[in-house]
Amino acid sequence: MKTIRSLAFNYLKYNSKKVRVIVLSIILTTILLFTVSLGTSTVRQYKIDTAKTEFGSYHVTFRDTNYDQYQDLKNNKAVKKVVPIQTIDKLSDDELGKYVNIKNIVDSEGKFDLRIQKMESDFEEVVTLVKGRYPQNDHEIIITRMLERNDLAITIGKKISDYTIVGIFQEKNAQAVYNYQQKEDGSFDTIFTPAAITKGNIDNGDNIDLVTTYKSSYNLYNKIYKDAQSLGGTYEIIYGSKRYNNADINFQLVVAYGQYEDFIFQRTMYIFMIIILIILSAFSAITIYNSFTISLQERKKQLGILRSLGASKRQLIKMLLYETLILSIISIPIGIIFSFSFGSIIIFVINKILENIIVNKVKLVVYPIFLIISVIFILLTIFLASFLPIIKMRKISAIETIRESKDYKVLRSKEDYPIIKHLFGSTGEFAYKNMKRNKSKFTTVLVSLIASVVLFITISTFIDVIASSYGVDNGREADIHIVISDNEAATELVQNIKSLVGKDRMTIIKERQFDFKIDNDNIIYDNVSNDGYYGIEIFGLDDASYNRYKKVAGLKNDNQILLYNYLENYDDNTDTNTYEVFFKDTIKDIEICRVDRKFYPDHQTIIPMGCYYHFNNFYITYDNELDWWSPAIIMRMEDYDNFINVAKEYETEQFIKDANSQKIDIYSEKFVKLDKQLNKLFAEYREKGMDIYYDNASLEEYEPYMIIKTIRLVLYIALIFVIIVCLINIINILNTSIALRETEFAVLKSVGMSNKKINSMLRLEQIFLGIKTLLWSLPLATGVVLMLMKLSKEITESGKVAISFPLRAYIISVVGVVSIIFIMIKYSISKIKKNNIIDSIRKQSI
Amino acid sequence: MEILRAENLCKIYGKSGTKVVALNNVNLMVEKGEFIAIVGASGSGKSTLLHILGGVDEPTSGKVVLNGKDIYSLNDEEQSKLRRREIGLIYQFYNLIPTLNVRENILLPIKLDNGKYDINYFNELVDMLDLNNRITHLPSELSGGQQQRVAIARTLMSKPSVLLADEPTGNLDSQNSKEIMKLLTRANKIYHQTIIMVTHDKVLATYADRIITIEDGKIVDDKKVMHHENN
Repeated sequence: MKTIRSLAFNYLKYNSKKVRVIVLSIILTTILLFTVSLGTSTVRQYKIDTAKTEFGSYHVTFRDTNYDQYQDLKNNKAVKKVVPIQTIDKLSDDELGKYVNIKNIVDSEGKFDLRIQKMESDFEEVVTLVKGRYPQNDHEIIITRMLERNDLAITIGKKISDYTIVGIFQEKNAQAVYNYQQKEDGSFDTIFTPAAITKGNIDNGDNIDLVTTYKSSYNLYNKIYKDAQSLGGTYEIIYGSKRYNNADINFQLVVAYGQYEDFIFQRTMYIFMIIILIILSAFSAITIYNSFTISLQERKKQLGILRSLGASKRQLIKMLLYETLILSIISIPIGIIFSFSFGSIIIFVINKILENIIVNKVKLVVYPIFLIISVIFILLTIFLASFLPIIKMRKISAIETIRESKDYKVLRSKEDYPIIKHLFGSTGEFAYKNMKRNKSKFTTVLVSLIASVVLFITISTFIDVIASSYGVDNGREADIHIVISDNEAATELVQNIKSLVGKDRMTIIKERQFDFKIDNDNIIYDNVSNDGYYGIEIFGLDDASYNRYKKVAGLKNDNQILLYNYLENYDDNTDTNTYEVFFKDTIKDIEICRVDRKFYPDHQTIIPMGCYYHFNNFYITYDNELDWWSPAIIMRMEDYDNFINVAKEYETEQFIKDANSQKIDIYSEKFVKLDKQLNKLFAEYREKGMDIYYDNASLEEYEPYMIIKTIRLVLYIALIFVIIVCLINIINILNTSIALRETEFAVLKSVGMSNKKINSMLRLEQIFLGIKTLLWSLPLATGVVLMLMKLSKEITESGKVAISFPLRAYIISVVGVVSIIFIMIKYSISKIKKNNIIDSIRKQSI
Repeated sequence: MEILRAENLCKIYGKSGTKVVALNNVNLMVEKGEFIAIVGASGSGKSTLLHILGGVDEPTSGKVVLNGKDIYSLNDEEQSKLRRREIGLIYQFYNLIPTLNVRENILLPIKLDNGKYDINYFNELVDMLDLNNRITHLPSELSGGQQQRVAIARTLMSKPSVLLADEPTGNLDSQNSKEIMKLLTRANKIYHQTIIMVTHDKVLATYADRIITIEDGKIVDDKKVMHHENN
């Protein structure tokens, strides 16, 4: 064994140049595979941390339980912690509701319901304190930061009803707002969550909610369902998943743990990851296999000598495997270090860019189990890739290796290729025959090139899939929303906002609901008030937005007013319509020019008016858009203002003021910069006494947007690595192949073949290789792309393919292959040029 | 005493149309301590015969018996052991391991056998082959003649039953060739080393005690050589 080891060591010591190629390929393999593991761990950990910060570290809240059930759950071996919480009070407050800009948090009368809940301790399981302290008795409360208003004295030290505010918390699981859960029939369940918490004892007989955390995240759904059932819950199947009526699962955290019940998206993403991992591994294995094969081919003679000196096959295999082991021991840690350094830089950059946006800093994490798995995976890839050439080498007898009779394997080729001859002449035919004869060498290069192209196109498509899954690159609609009250400064403020927004899309909306009298027979809208009036939302849009909206709705004539859905069979052929409008306490006939009906059979098909799809907007705003179940009239701002002028005579001052408050929606790519500018601007105007509500929803999307950018960056860098590996591989093969063919070229020269002809032969060989690469790789890549598109179709709700065909990736691939072929031609010709006929022939005979 | 015997050896390369008969029913018996030269024209089959006798190339049919063992009936492990212990091969192109120094190259067959070596014998060989000053050099730092001397030392080190030399001087000038031949003769005389040498040089063949001529894969002549005292 000692001799074997020393032989292996000596070989590595004296052949550093040849070994370097193998080391490089192992390092790059390690980087490729380890980065996947590093990236997965980091993203997973980040998702877990963020979910814990934003939604809490609990797994589920069981609703409506009693004290005994609480005790039972506490004794459950699978459960780590149970925190009981109880609703004890509900405060209804007129004043508070008026100023709270949280959608649906006020009731129909404009009153705000503040639910008071009590907890014994463990407040941090439910909320994160951002200011003040936790309550110490049942007269103290902590409130959500969404309620904090310094100007209205809703802050620490002030009172709401009999409760003194002692702290402000950042809500987890959106405790401050109502949650909606859509049922299969389209209706919604409302889940109430607390907005204020006090301290108090949980007693026997109380109806309590149990905020529960399990010991292990493994198989969470089953544990939750089991406990939900034993706590008396019943379930419905919603979108193919079980939903217990007494269990509010912390989905964000559960999904972050990688647990999913029937989330096609998650599963699809895993499939994508596995596909990428397999392609990367296969690619790495091919690279390592190539470098080993080449290295062994160059050592055939040496191995033959050892065989003739009495080394057994087993001894040779041991020696070669020992070499692989040494190289792996050197290369894998280097690869891991590179991977870590590269990851650290990326993470540093991300944290720097996202400093003010992300909840938690992204931390570079690798789970020990992931590390072990990836190292095993890398070792397996390396050993499998190296073992094959070693085993092949074993079959060769001593005499063959000493003679090197099989070193340059030349296969018999067909006699004629008339089509090739016709197209490229006799040199072309000769080149084609060479390719056929030197099949193994050409196949290796071919496989490298094909793998690179397929990988490139697959990764490009994969990036699109991720991007579309976040909704980033496909019509992002949610953006900046501003509400400003109607006063003298409003026009000036709108102008200022406009100058900041520049050419980006900006929509000004005014809106108010009026009761219209419409002929009953023609209406399918069934929420008719007793006296036959319908609440219809009137929207005024600025001209540009109105025209855009009209265009999307498919209407051609000018000065039309759009009556939005549910009003079937409405006569829209008359030029004007007279409506009976019920103002505060007066009925007035109002004439509106012409109404066009747009009926949507699918009520969920919504045309965005400003920037939001209001359907996605439950949490963000209260009153800016039409509810999707109510009809609406959309008109030009001019018509709206005329309408309000009529209303002025009959409605209250506040009503008119509200009707004239402007909602501004902005769609802009530069939302981060705009955020800073708008905040500065609004601070100025707030000081002047203007009420401004501002919400930059893009910032919420900024995180996934940046994550996509990062994933894109990481994947493209990985791709660059892959291409480097591919080039190393090809140059390696070229070197060996040319070295082995030197005599062939020399002989051709010596029998009178001109340099020009030899060059053109070489050129054609590489061109054939390029053509073959494209003929194989493009259909293969198309297969993978179609598969990814099919999978992507499954993950989008609409079933519409979210990604478009990656034409750009195809063009880049073709250009890339052509460039590589060009480099190969230049490289081979320059190598051949340097060779002298006699030297080459002599070299062969020594 | 018989040390090596070849019975009905045949070696055929290729198939049907491209078939080449390299050895055609060759029978040969070698006594211990003999120095045999196999001569013949290029392509006559002499190197093939030597390689088959050395256990590095397999015959198509027939057998080779070395010290009573049919070497081609042995498994790979036993065959390797036999090559390590009982056969020494010298090639025209020396075939030293380029990454090992002179000392390591000489000791390689013994080390592969995990065996201990006789330091006195090693010194004696190094002395005899005049490699004293080159012991730590790599093959690339030696002349052709020196490399061949290392190859001979490597072969002699394991005291093989037979030493097979394939054109040992084919790559050397006449001065170096003579020296190598003298060394082989000395090894034959001093250590009673059985040597079978392939050469196409009839003059070099006269260093041997017995000359076998081979033609078209057949032994056509087998005769003893009478040496003068000064040879």
